[in-house]
Amino acid sequence: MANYSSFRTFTGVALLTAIIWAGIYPTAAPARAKDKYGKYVYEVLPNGLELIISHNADSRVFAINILGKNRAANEPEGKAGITDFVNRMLTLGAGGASAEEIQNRLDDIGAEITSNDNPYIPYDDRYTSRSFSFIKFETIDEYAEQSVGLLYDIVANADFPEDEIGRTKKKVMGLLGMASGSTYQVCRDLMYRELFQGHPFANPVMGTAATVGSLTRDDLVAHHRHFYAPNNMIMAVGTNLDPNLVKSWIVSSFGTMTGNEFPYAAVPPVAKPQGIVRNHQEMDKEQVYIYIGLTTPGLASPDAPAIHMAASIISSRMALNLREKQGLAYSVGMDVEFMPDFGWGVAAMGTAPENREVAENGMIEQINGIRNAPPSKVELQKAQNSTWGSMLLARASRINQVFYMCKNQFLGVGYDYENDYLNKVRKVKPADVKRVAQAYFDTDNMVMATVGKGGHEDESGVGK
Amino acid sequence: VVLAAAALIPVAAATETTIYTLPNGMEIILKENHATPLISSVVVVGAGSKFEDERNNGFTHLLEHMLFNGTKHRTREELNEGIKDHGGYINAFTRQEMTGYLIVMPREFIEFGLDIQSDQLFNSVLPESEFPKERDIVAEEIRKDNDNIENIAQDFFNSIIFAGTPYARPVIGFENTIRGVSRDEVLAYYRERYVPNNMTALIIGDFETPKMKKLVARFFGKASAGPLPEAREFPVAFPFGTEIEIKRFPTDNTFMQISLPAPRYDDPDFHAFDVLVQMLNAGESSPLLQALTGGEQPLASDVSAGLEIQKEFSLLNISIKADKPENLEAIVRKTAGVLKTLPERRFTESDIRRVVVPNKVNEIRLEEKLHYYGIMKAPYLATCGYEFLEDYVENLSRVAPRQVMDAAVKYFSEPKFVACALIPAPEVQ
Repeated sequence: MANYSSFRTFTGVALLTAIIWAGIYPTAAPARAKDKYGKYVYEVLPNGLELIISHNADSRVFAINILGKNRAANEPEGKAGITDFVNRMLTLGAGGASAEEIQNRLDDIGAEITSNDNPYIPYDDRYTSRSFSFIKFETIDEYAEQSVGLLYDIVANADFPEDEIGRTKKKVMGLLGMASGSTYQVCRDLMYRELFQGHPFANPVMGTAATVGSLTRDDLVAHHRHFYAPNNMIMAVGTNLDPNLVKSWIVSSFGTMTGNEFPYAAVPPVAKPQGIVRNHQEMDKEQVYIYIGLTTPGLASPDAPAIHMAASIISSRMALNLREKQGLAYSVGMDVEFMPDFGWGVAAMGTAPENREVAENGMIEQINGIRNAPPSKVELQKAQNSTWGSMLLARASRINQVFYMCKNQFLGVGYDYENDYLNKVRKVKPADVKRVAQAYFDTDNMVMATVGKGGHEDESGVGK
Repeated sequence: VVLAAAALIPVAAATETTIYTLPNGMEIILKENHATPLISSVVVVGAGSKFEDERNNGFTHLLEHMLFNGTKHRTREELNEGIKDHGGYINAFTRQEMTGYLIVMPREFIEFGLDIQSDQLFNSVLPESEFPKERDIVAEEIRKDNDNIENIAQDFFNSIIFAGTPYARPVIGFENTIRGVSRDEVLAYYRERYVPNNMTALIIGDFETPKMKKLVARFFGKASAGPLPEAREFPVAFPFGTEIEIKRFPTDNTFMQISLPAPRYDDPDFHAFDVLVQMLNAGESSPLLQALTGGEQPLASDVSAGLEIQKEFSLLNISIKADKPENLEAIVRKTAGVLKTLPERRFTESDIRRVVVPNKVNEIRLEEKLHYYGIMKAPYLATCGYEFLEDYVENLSRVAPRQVMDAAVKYFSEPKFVACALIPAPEVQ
């Protein structure tokens, strides 16, 4: 659902095979070969692992995503970033194999495993979340059986060798150092800290130098055992092969893991900001970054599709009015994210320090614009069509299909929710957009975080 | 079992490729791929920052921005919003050798998308009134880049390694050069370079080739060819030596690049050398990574190696991130030490397969990701031509252990290098 408009900058994306949205596009889905195996297999294994297998004959890619539920909520006090750290260590020793041996096994089958954002490609991260962790694994069908065995070793039998812990700490400290010099990353974390005060989502995904520095091997082993227990995971597989065969491999590997009887932390609700909560951090940089944060209802709310459309329209208006007409920014936009029971809208922009006030007011003006008057039918339809296209593109590759299956299952709407969701988006009316914007995009009660030059000492605190 | 299976993998069995040239000189590459109901069209224009000079540096990129500001037939909104309104994606990117224009459309709207793309390429009006705003946007993009420590480091490395050549300049230019260049100059460059005989279209996705050929002729075939400027090359005399060029900057991190000569893309040693480079960049198996980040006193926190391929040369770039600037010389010594061991190593078929199989699998994976496909391929298309791309994995798989050893002896027995580093300013340390 990312909506940031940064023209001429490539961001990560990819995907879907066949979203049918007959209401708008009568021929949207191409004819497909008759599906021999049925589209999905869904099963909860006796150890609690939720397994989804999606079959179609479109591609030779064999893709698996594993989702760990409630990442931030399950990180122990003072150990923020431990899940990110565990993810980095999964391939650095498992089942007695060294990091080099695991790398060789991956290379033998041309497999790629991704469990963290690549920090060297800025502005492209659509997957990292405080809500859950991901482990993406890709190869081709020819190596499917070997790949299930290898992934099982990596996820279930990670060894956490002491020397690799030291090496990983060094690497993470370097990444934290880089992030601490990035206005947009510092500003994003500042906004989360204010919007989610006292909530697990206030913590940065990678942790801090203090929390990462404090991690011990015992911490990592305990967290791994707890967090990556089968009853805290959802696994989705996309394949061209007989799903029953694939399932048999998974049952004989991941199915042997023991479920965890200790309780998992639930994600608490989030409180709406009271007044305009401002926080500014001074940094000697050429751009100032501005983040606005607002709370909304969650995906379970019938208002979620209208909230999504409202954010999409505001994002387009920001791009048109602040970037294309005024030249205030290269990158500007708004997005909304959902948990089942709450959500949050985020608007962001980078601009020259001298434009900061104009930019802040401009962003607020674009949000208020949709609260004061409904969008035209044409504008709404553009947002609906654009959402359809974005989802189509973002789900074109098998690896992203399985990622979104896991995410939807985690969010409680079912792995195959996307077509339902698009139908709901299609039914949103202009009056719905105005109504939800008035109700939830409350610019008198929001967080405004800024990072860069030109702040004032009185900018931290609450005001109107 | 793994190795036997690897030999059987065709690179892209589902893909059928058709290559031809329109009467107006535009090269067309059509790749049918029915994995997703999408079609991507990337048009590579032979207009890159290397054709600029010190004064107008960045105007190729500014022109790329201006091509989103309306045509003889469409307003800016109709161009940008039209694509999005049809569920499509539109973007562009500028490099040293080329500028690329990308659309990705649901297959049923490809006709609409190609209509807009051809209009954008051949009929843009570059309105005078939009220049000030677009310069402001590019200035913001420059500021954004200047706030990114890796960009600052890379710009410094390029200024040293490619000193005195266009490769030393940033593609995006500088705020003063962007603000100084006139519309007339940009327009003249547009008219000179944006002609069909200076373009290649790479179209991949869910289409039938005969139908696509008709669409291509309709939308790209009408533009007239034009006289092209004389082809220029810019040879680089690399300042190889033993000194480490250093820039101090307010940062916590130390970034280093060690660049070594590499065979050009059409050199007979190229693919064998490429195998070596990919071994050096093979994650946890990399001898460089092990040497620099392992042990009791690791010298670096991260290391990667990659080939930079340009028309005139190739370079092996080793990028290192360290936390102690005082380790720079030790890093150079250790890196040279690792490279010098390679000529002694007995490479096997198995070593080469570990490079080839990921390349074959990546090619299959990439063809699902139409968004990335054009972005990844376009720069090589402009620099090396389609034949190089089409045969790349096959040529890699033909490399024999003896060739790898020979390349190691030739290039790493007495390695020449340029080493540069961006280190924390004293007040940060």
